[in-house]
Amino acid sequence: MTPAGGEGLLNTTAYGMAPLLLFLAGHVAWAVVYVMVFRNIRRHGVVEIPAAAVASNLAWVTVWGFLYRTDMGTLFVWANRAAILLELTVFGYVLATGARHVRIPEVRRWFKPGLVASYVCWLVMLYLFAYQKYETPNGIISGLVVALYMATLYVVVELSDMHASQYSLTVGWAKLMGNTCGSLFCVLVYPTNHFLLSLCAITFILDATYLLLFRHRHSVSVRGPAPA
Amino acid sequence: MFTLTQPWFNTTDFTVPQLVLFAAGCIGWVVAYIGTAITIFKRQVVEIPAGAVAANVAWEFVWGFIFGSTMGRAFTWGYALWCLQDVFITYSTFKYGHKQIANPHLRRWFKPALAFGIVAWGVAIYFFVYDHYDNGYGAITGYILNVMMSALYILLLLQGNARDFSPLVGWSKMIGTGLLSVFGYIVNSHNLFLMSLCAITLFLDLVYIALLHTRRPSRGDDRMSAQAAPRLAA
Repeated sequence: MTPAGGEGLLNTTAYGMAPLLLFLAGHVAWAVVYVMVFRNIRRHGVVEIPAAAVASNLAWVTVWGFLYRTDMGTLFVWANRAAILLELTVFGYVLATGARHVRIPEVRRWFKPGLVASYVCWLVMLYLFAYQKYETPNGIISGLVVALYMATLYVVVELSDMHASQYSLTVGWAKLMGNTCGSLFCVLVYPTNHFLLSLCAITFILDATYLLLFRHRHSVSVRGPAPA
Repeated sequence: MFTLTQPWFNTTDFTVPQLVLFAAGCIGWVVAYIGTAITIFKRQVVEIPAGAVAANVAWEFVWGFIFGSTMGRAFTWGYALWCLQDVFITYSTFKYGHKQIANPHLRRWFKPALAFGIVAWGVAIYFFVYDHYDNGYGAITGYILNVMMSALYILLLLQGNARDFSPLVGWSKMIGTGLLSVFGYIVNSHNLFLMSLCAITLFLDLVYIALLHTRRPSRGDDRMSAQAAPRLAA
């Protein structure tokens, strides 16, 4: 987690080329997620990432972009730093406009302080998780915890039947591909870390469930309501 | 791992006052579970958030029946007894937990989601312990659950009617967790991650208590009560 002097664009000393390319592919898929998220902000004025996940995502990129340095190479170091800008924009937008996911007025009243408190709590926990040496040198364990949290919230938001037009199928697929590439990286690099692999499996089930529910709801809305 | 030959109390690694402090914290949670059961009987409402029920019962099963506490057989059996106590709460959550969900589309998926949650938490906690991330008495996994549970309690209270939430449960869980955190500080103060989880849990529990006492029970919003259930299920 400390700066590794002299590492190249990709750290091929500590990692094989196949895991590095898989991880890179995962980053590309996540870039697609963010392109679509920003497009939906422009079109509909809503952030389709669940608000609670926006806070945890920003905390993770803050920790791994600013406070620790991944050992996977400078390409990934700068990817994490660039991600801070994206996440900060999304976080700022959600903070400024409030969450349209939140329907209950009492919760909406506490939304902004709750979001900021959530960010601070995640930041402290993720920083100390790595500080206490529970983490791998690339932040993949906490990254998957955050991904699993986000996948759970996506399913909850999908099940709560938000307006279908405000959500993108491309995001669902890109998220699944991004997490799957990250999971395959874990299988190749950490085959004996059962906890990490269990996180990968649970995240995959949730991402796939989200896609199935999304497609089901989309097909229902295309068919229209059944005749009375 | 769980054994029947373990001494009842581990007085080699822990002092007697430390063991008493830990036991007092555990009793706080027994009181919280009894308070939860009383609310279930009286109002057919489960005041523990469903997500936390899933995580709790999974944790208690993994620690009570598979790994066991290094603090002594009495504590392992205590975890197992917690699990048995929680079986009733889990059963009640399957029966009444859908009342926690305001959205009818979500309510339809409540039972399969709860079942999946129990299995997913069980697998994740088992492997977290198996891969030696946790300490000997389950503090790390226990407090990860506590942070989530305390946050969900606040969310559920904000959504529901204050009448469905018992001050006995709120106070006993805060005092129980607080005593366990003091114990954690004495024996694990070097583990800053654990200390941060203790601090965040205390902060969230204090917010919950403050909200619980400032929110007035409302007659109009009776979403989680027994009388409201048939109307909402329709």
